[in-house]
Amino acid sequence: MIFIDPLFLFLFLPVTLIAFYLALLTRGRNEALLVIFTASIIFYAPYGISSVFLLLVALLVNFGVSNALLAMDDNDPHRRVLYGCGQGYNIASLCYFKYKIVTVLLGENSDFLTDIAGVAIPAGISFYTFHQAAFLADAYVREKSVVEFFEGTRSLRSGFWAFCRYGAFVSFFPQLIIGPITYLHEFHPQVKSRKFISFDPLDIAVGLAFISIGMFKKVVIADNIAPTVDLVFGAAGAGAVMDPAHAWIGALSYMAQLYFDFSGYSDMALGLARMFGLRYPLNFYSPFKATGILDYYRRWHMTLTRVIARFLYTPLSITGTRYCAVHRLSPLPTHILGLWLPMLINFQVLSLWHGAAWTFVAFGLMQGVWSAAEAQIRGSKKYKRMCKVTSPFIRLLVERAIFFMLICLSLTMFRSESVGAAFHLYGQMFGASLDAPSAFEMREPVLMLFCAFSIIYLLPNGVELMRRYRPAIMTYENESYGFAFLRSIWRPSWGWAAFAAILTISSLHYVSRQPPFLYQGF
Amino acid sequence: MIGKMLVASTNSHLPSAAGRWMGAEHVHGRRGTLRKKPSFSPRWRAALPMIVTFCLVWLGYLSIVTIVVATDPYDIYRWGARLKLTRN
Repeated sequence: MIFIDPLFLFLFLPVTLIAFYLALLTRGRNEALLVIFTASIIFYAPYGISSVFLLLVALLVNFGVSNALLAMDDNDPHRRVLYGCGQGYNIASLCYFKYKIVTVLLGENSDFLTDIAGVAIPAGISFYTFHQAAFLADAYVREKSVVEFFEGTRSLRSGFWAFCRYGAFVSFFPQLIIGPITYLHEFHPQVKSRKFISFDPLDIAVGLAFISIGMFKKVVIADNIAPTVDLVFGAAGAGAVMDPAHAWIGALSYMAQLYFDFSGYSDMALGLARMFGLRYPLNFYSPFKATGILDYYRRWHMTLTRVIARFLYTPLSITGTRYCAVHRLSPLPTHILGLWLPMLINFQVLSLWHGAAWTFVAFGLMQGVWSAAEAQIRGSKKYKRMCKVTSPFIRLLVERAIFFMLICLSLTMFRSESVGAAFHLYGQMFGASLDAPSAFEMREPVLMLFCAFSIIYLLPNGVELMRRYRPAIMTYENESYGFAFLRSIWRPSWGWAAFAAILTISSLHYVSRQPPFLYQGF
Repeated sequence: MIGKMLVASTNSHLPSAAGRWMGAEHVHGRRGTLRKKPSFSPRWRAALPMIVTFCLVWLGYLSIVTIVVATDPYDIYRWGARLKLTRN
């Protein structure tokens, strides 16, 4: 199921909500979380029985290993090995099912191993695998909430309830397919609190508002921009010549499509979780308002950024810097080992997380070089001196303009069918075929782009709009650059309810086509 | 009136299921006695516009689906009939 499916919105969600609150108020937390777990499995079932089976196996393995890690003594030499096995399982399943490593290494005719890997990539495997890998790491270091979570799981009955709680935490349907990747210390205290066992009608109101905004972004804006994107990138893939204006419209349209698709999903995920009385970490915060690539990754897919930074960038950077300090290396190798190399590896992994394609490798390289260069420039004395003598407003405009141009070019690589197609499109964008015939009528796509970018730059994002009701757990502190007079605050009034209803009804007008979310493919 | 409603609980230190539904909480009174503070009314009143509006959207959509499925104008189901336009 997907969030914009009428079956999900009009049947699955109301039934699950009623069952959840009935279980919560008449039985208790554990039963309510069992309802969530069961509903999430039903939600996931249309993606295939083999996918469900894989998810359940991953849950069992990670739950079992985490439990054993907590039961073992810190000095036990097998503890480290067990942790390695647990993380090994996560990495191996990702390599096997997502990257089809067996098919890549052994070819398509290596019998049994490739037969199983030959199934379609299980939906959300990258998300729930990272989710569980982070949980396992927390269990290994005996993070407080993980220890609390497993307390008193000695008997079979208490073990069963702990597994249900764990299943609800990992597979809760608002975040199962596309995230956000959540830590247990963000989920567990909420479930444990007294507030969780009461019904707050405002949670439903806030959730409904988020769902209506998110659905409008996805169904009305992103999906209406999609045909232009498909046309231009399809033509570039076929090596067709095109007018520079058309090529730019295609590249900008993809920026807008990806933005509204992911933003819409993120808003819907926050809203759905809120309807169950839960707040999830913020995953998306006006990324195109960023002033640079480092700022961008604190606004775009924030929960993935923090996981990769925690498990990859920070350890690599610390190790590199320490090595240089111990061996008393000069500043250049220190910069290379402590900053450049970790950044390049970090962005390569971040990029390859989306899938195994050369376009992602090129995209990761572009982002890595850009990030390292930006960090170097921002840390330089020249830049700091320049900051003192220039107007912050002018600097903001210039930085945003540079960022906009570079992110447009790198997202073109991200979307292209091949590296060759991306370079062909770059050529068309910069005037390789000035006299090419017109491929499509430009008026409507330009109007749509104008509307889309006006919404991006002028209006508050969903979280800003709902800030009175603390809609999410803040992942990073971000500055808001919108105009103050346009930053309105949502209230559950009749006016806002009518506005939300208009958004919903206009989305329902288009809902029958149901294209999947772009991030569902990653 | 609903806001003033007290909810009986068999357990002295916990509100009943219905009480929890309405957000009833136990708080200490002036003399240290337990009394219930129902927070039903303000929160429900605040959320009412959104809930009523979306109930209407929900019912409207389901009604349209029911009518379309029942009459089956595009002849998808067994009971459907293809639309025919004839003169007179």
